[in-house]
Amino acid sequence: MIRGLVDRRERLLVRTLFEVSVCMVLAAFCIPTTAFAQGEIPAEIQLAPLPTHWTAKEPVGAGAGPVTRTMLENPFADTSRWLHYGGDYRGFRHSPLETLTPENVSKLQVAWAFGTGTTGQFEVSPVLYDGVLFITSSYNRLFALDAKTGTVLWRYDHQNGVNLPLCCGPANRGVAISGDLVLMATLDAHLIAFERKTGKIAWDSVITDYTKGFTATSAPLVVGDLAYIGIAGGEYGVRGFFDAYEVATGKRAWRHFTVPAAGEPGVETWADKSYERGGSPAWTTGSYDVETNTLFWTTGNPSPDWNGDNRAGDNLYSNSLLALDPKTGERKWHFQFTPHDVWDYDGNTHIFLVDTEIDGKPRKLIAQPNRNGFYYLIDRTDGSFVLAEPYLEQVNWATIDANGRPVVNPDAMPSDEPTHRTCPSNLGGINGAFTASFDPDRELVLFATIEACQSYAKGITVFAEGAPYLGGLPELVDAIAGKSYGNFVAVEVATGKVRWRAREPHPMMAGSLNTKGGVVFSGTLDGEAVAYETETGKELWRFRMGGGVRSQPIAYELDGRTYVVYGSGSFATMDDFAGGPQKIPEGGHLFVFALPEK
Amino acid sequence: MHRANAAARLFVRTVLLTVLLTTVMTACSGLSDGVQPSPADVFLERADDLKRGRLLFTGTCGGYCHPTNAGNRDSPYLFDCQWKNGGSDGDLFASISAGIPGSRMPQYGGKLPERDQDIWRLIAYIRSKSECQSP
Repeated sequence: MIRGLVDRRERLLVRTLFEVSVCMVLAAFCIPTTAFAQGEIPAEIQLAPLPTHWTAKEPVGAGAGPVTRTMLENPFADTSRWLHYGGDYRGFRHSPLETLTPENVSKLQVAWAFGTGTTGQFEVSPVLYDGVLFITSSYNRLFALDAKTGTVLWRYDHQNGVNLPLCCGPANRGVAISGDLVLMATLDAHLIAFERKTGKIAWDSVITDYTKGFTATSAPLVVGDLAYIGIAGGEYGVRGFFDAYEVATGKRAWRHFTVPAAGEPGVETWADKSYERGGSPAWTTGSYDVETNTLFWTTGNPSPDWNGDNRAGDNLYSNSLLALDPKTGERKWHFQFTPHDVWDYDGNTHIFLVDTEIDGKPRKLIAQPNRNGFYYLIDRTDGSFVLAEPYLEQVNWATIDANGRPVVNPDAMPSDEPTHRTCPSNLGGINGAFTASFDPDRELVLFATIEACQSYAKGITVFAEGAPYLGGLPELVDAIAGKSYGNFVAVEVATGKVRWRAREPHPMMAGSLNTKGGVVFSGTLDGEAVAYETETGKELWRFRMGGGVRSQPIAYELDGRTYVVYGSGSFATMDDFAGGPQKIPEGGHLFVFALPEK
Repeated sequence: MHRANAAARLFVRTVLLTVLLTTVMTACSGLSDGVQPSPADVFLERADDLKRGRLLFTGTCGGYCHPTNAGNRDSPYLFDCQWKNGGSDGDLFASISAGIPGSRMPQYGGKLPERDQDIWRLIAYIRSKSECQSP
């Protein structure tokens, strides 16, 4: 009896377990599951982490001493150097080399090439000192290369944090150099100093918490004891700023917010508390006036980008040129190019510190081809407006009045259901991601342009920390229709008149370099390096590198041989956005060209 | 007495199996849209709600993060029926409200002006623009 009861219970238990198991198997098929929980990889398929930092056992270079302030102020006293993102503090990107001429530039040959192993836009402006090229790639790889052979001397692969708040790709535009240090900013908002001779990290300063919407993509600028770096985040509703750090220690010396706080001058240009999420980032490299000891920095768009309804007012100091005391960060004056921007017309494109005559009088000026399609001259002693002229073939969002203020075309304003084809596009005529150059002998400003228009749509604005804060979108009417194209242009510095244009089938988004010998270099999204005669725009040389060109070319001379350096590699998303070619691989290669040995 | 125990055990087993089968059926129902009505279905039929869905899409990150045309982008195009994280209304609601860990898709749960209702309006707008014959 007892045995029979136990048997029945066992059978019942077995049957119940069987039925439960069937249900669980069915449930397993029906309930979606993932193979592994986030971040978990079974031990049997885990690999040892790859190395990310290769330092040099012996000091690299030819034994030159530290980079001094005098060198930084007069960088081309020795043509075997390229020390600044902008070529010099004035931003000319003008090589004094007379060896690169319209007659011989077609003789450039590939001396060596180098793969970075990364994709995404390769926007670097290399730095050269003591025979060593310092190159940064997308995603913050930093390479020290022998400038004559391309041999890797040391290398650092920064391990960026996860879920980077990138608006526009994983770019980095290069390093700054000072003393025996090389400085790189990172996408996860660090500023890191490396010993230039070994690649060892000297210090690593956190600029800010990148998860709040910040990134850093630009090359730092060093003046004296301080290194300056700004941040990106205008598409995330951050409060923009740029910083000064002690070069020797990495300690922050000051921070200059580009949006005022409550009670500060300029806050009245923001409705309600919209200044708290006002954007106005500082994602490009500034300039420095040695003569007046003035630091110049420029700023980007107010947030949210395409809906200004909740930030009525001019939104200072977005889209502005700022003059500052380099020691304290105190602002001396400002000039705002695009008040109350609702098109993403960042005011932070390349600036030049030029001395020229206006109406027969010598003037100290800042020249800027602005993203909004106009070329500006601003008096750099007081920020007063001098002139603005369109440099694009298509500008219809505004005209500029006698005081430098835009008179906005009402049809160009973003709307719920836009139909107006507004020019330029949100990428601008030129963009802060690529440089312009200035030839002081020929008094020409030389740069690549994007000829594209969009319809600007306004939506419902939603803020969520660390998430895009846009308020609208640009409808890519020209890009989709295949109507976008590019020009390389030469603008007369004193008048703003376009001297010549060289047309390309796709928008151009590459930097500019010109030489005293009369050649200007840039590149195409189709993957070609291009050289033009500076005086006329006549095409002199074209070389297909592969990846679209987004880099800032440089030139130098080593042991009597002349070199030109390009990065080749674009970012497919941005190419598509601009209306560029669709089938060009992204790339990630450095090309070093040289004239034949004498 | 023995019969009473057997009846009780049978009752317990029946209840247990019923609960388990109900769980299974509920889980399975998520795989086929339309079995359970979606709140987005209502908004799909109302022009004002669809417009609000479009303006939310425009104003958050549609077009910049999620292109409005199929192209060569590093971000998902939401109208081509290709879903990495599930394409049912429930899946979309989960992706929008909780974000997608390990990606740049943030959480919008509780952050849109009209909360969940706005998420359903977004889903309705995405559905209205779908290039799929059946989602």
